[in-house]
Amino acid sequence: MGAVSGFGLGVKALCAGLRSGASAIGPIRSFNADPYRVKVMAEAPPCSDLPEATTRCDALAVWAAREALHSAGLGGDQVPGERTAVLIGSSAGGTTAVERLRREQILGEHTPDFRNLRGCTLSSPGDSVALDLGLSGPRMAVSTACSSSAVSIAIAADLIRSGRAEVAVAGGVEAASESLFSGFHSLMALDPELCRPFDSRRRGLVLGEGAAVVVLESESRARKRGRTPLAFLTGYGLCCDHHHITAPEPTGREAARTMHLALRDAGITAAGIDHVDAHGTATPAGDVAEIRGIQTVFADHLDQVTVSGVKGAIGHTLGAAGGFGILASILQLEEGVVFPTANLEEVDPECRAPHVLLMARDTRPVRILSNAFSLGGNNISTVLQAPDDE
Amino acid sequence: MMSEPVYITGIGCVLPGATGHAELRTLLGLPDSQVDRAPPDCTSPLAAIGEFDSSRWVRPIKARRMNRIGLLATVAAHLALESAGIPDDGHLPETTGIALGTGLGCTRSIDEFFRQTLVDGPDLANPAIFSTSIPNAIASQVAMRLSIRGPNVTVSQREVSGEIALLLGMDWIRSGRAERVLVGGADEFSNFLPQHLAGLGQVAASGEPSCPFDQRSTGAAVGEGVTFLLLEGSGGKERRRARVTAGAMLGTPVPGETVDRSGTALRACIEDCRAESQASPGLVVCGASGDRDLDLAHARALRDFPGGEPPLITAPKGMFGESISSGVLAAAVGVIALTEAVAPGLPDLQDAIPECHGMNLPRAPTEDLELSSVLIAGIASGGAAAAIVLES
Repeated sequence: MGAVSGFGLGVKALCAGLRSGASAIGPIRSFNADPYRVKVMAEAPPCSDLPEATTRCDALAVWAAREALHSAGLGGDQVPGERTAVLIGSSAGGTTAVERLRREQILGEHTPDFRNLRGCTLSSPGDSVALDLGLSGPRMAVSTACSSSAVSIAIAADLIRSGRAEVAVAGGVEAASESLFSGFHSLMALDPELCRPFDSRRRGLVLGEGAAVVVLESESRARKRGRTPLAFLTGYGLCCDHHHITAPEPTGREAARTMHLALRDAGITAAGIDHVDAHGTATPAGDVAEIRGIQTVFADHLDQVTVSGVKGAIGHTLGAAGGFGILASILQLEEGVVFPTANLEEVDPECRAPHVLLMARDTRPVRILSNAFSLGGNNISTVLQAPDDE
Repeated sequence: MMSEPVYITGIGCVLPGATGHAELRTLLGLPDSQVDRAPPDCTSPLAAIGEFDSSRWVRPIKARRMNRIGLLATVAAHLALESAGIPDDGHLPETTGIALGTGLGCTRSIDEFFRQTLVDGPDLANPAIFSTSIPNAIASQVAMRLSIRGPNVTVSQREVSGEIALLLGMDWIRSGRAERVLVGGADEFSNFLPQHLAGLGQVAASGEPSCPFDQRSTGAAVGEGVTFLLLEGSGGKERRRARVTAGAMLGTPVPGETVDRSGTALRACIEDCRAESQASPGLVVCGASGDRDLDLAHARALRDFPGGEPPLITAPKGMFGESISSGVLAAAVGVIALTEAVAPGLPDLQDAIPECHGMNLPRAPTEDLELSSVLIAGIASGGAAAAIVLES
C-alpha cells in the first residue's frame, strides 16, 4: 500500500491518524480562498523529493505508487515491468496544470503559454507512475468521479484474473483544485467547518487531497516469492444508479443493489461481513441514502456489523476516496481494529447504525465491505478479506 | 473465465457529416474529408459537428438538463441500440453496462463553469454546469436517459481512450460481468481544445496541410464526435456484425506528453493479438492523425506487417480529424469494412513519409473488399497502445 493524505506522507501516518479519530482538515493553502464562503480542506504535504517538472497531481500519485511497490517487496528490478499494469484514477487528473492557463486566458492577465501543458490530462498521473517505475503493462485512467480509485482497483484485479497482467499498481489521486472546489461550493455541498459523516449537525463534505495506491497480484504469485498477502479482494459490485447527476437515489435501493452485487461476486451473504467502510461524505442526502442501503442489505444482521468511514478524518478526496476506503479496510483487517468516524458525535436518527465513535475498537474484522459512490451514480462496493480466513 | 464470445451488434454515431450507421457507411465510400482546412474562428483545421438538433431522440424537457456532449452521446447510444434491434423503452436488463472512453471529457462545460467562477464570482457560478462538467457525466447522462443500470465506467488514455473502453467492454462480457455493453468514444470541440492540442504540438495551424502519414502534414486537424458500439455475448444472434476475437493493451514508459516513436508497445500488442486469434487482418484501421510523431510511431509498428500480403491501412482521423477517443470510430469503420465491404481512404494523402514504404495506403475508398478480419490499432502520447482484432 502507498498513501499521501492530509495526515502526511505514507501509510503509517494515515493509519495512525485514522486510528486516533483525528481530523486533518485545516485552512486552504493551495489557492486563494478569499472569494469563497468555505475556507477549509484537508490538504496533503508537499512531495519534495520528486522532480520539479511534475505536476502536483502526478507527484502525489508517484509518491504513493513508489511506497506501494516498495512495501510489496517489488521495488527496484523486482517488479515484472512488462507484465505490470498501471491504473490510476482521478476525477480531474492534472486540471491544476490547465487552471492557470484558463485563468490567464479568461481574465486576460497574461498571454497563456499553451506549450506548458505537461501533465494536464486524466491519464497523466498513470503515465507518470509508469515512467517513474518503468512499467510497460496495460495502462488505463478510470474517471468515475468519487469512485474512480475503487473502480481502478477492481478492474486491476480483473486484469490479473484474466491474465492481461501479473501485477497491478492501482488506485487514485486528486490534487487540490480551485475548479473542483468552486464546483462543490456552487452545489452548496461544502461544510464550512468540519466533515461530520452521519452526524445530526453535518452540513456537507470537506474536500481533501491525496493519493491511495495498492499493489495487486495473485495469491500464488505472492506466496511463491515468500509474501503473505495483506488482504484478498474477493469480489466487487459495480453498477449505475441512473437516478440523478448529483443526488443519490434516496431510498437506498441503488446503494443496496451495489452492495448485494459485491456480496454475490464474493460468494457470501451479508452475515459474512464484519464491518462496513462507508462512503459517508457527510452530505445530508448521501448519508441517509447509504445508511438506508446498509439497513436493507444487513437487515437482521445489522447489529453484528460496525460502520465507519474516513472522510471526517481526511476529507473527501474525490478520485482517491474509494482507494482510501480500500486502504483503510486493509489496515483495519491487518491491525484487527475498526477505525472510528472522525467528528461523529451525535448520530442523526435517520442514520442509525452501529457506528464506531471516538476511538478505534478491537473487533478483529475478517471481512469488510467498502463503499464508493459517485457523482453520476457510478457506484462500487468491494469485499476485502483478511488472509487468515482462507 | 474468458469464455463468452463477444459480438458487435450495433453501431451508432454522431460525427461531422454523419448521424447513424447508414450515413457513416455512405460517407466512408466517398472520396471527401470532413476537415475544413481554414475554418473561421479556429486556429486549426477542423472537422466539427456544429449545431445539432437532438429533439428527435431526446425530449427537449429532458435535454435542457444535459450538456452538448451528453446529448451527442445519448443520441449515438440510442442509435447503436436501434441498429442492434433493441428498443429504447427503458427496460434494458441490469446486465447492460456502459464503457466510455474520453480524452478530455466535458471541455465546454469545464470552460464555461470556470469562466463563470472567475468572471461572475463563485456565488453566481451555475451548479448545473459543474455537475455535467465531470468526465463521467457523459456516460451518466446516457445511463439516466436510457435507463442503463449495469457497470458504468469512464476511462481516459489520451488517443487510445476509445480502444481501452472497447477492451474493457470486451472483458466484462467475457467474464460475465455484463451481457451487453454500450462501448463509446466521446470528445467535443471547444474553444480551448485547438489551443490545448496546439500547445502539445499535435495539431496543424489553420490553412496548413493535415493528413495522416503525409510528409507535408504539420499536425492533426481538430475533430469531435461520438461513436457507440453495442457489444453482446451469446445474445443478439440476428444482428451479429463482427466478433471481437482478440485484444491487447500495453504501454511504453515515455516522458510527459511525448510519443514513443518506435511503436514498440503497439507492435507488442499486435503480436499478443496474433497469438490469441491467429487472424491475418486484411485491413488495419489505425490512429495516425497527421501529427508527425504519432504517424511515425504507427508506421514503424505497422510496416513489415507479419503474415503474407500487406494489409490495407487506413486512418479515419484523415476524414474526421483528431477527436482523441476515436478508437471506437475506428472499430465501427472496421465493422463496416467486414460487413459492407467498404473502407475509407486517405483523401488528402499526397506524399507519404518514408517510414510508410511498402505500406498499402489507398487515397480513395476501397469497395468490394473481401475481408475475414480487421485490426484496430492505436498509439497514444504518454506511451500507451492498444490493438483489437475483429472477425466476420
